Amino acid sequence: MEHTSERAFVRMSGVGHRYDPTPGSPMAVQNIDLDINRHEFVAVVGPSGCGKSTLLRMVSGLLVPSEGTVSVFGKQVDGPRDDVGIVFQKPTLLPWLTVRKNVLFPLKHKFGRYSSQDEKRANELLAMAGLEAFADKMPDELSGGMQQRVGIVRALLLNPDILLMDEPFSALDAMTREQIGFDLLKIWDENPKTVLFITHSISEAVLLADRVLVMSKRPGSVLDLIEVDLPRPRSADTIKQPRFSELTDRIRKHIYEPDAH
Amino acid sequence: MSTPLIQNENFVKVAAPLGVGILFLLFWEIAVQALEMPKYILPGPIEIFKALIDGWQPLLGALYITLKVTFLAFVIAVVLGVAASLLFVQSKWIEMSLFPYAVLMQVTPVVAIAPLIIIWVDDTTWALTVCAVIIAIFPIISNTTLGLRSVDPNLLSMFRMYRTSRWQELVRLRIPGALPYFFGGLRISSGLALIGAVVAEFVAGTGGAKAGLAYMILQSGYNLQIPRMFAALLLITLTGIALFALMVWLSNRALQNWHESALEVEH
Repeated sequence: MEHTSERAFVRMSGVGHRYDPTPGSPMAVQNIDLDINRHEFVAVVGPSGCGKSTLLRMVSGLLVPSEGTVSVFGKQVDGPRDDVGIVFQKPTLLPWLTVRKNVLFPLKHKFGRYSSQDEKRANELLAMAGLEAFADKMPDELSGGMQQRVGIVRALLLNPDILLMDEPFSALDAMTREQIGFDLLKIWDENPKTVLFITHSISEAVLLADRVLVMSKRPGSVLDLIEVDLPRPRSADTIKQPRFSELTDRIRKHIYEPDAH
Repeated sequence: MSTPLIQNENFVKVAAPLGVGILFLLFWEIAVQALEMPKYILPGPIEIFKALIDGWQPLLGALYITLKVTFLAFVIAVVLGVAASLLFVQSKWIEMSLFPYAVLMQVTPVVAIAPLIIIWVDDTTWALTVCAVIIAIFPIISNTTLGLRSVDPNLLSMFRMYRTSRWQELVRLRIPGALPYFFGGLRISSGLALIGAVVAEFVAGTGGAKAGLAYMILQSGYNLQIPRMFAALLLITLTGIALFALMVWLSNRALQNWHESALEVEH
């Protein structure tokens, strides 16, 4: 990546979290060390309940880790930040606002208004996501995949440095899911961001990411950190490459035979 | 017309129940006349209609009183109920401490406490209003509280990402999100306010210038003016239907931006 610097953009060192603050209580996540470079796309996979989402919430600042620190560009994260966009598992749209107003909502909410410039950018992003015809529709009139796209567009509107995605495509059917993944890559290519992408789909992680962090069962810790050396731009053909299967197999081994690594 | 009227769903929706109603009234009238039923036991529809026309002045006066109590009670129930809900969602502690008392108020039959209220509150109109409020307030509290609470946790996270104040969270997320629930509560509550107004007046049983439709029914019963009793009953029913229709219209107006699925949150 062209912007890779010596200093990691997002740095997690010795990060761990327990939801029950009593010492000795079980950890949800422990001993996570991970450096993410600027504009790098890192995916996190692991069995359900391994604390993937906890990890993401700690990077977002919504959750303060009980052990270790998360820092962004050298500054410790101690609360929600402006330069972070977040996309949730389910499309988290306000049902009483149109698609365009949903996309513009963060601006309206933060500053009380938005300029025609902002509106132009919203329209551009919506067009990029193939949603220009739906800008004035209500969220409920859109399919699940479209709603999720709106959520992504909204997260991108403030042009955040960091995009956090918490299993964003898990509620979608397989075909929509693949397409929206490629669309995301296209958008990411045009608006480079540092992406932390949580998923439970191994192939999705390999298809999209620069690196894949494989987490263990609860308490979640790092089992492996895999460099995905597949060429970009990725497409449906990427899946056919033998290297793709090699990488997914390597991850699968960790998940199904956790002691074999 | 290209399609026969009978295939038009909207037409059938209105015509079918209307037909049933007319058939029922016809049958009623014929049965009453054929059996030579005395009108102090069961008057026919024509007799009832006559009583409605002949007695329109006292009936309308009574309707006005009942409507006044109903509206007063309904408005107070909405204001107090919404205020209580907003208080409840401020903290789990407040809700836990106070909600059981809201339930207590709901499960205590108002008929049983109405005599007390009538003793305590001098003015009849206000005494009846208090009783009706007690009946009507619960659906507002429970529905609105549920609505304010049932916010998508992801949306809450998103608002927290924007570092939202509690006030903004309430105004921009919780209140708009609770609207369909609130309107569901309104529909139930409007009917209950009317029921409360009528039931309380039955218990109070006070006549005079401030007598409502319930007293009219009681009095007509004593005097064996059964057609007038039916006429008063008819007015109560029509009021209930009108109230319900008004609430449906209001909620459709207020929620027109919401898609149908949001409107289906009714209890």
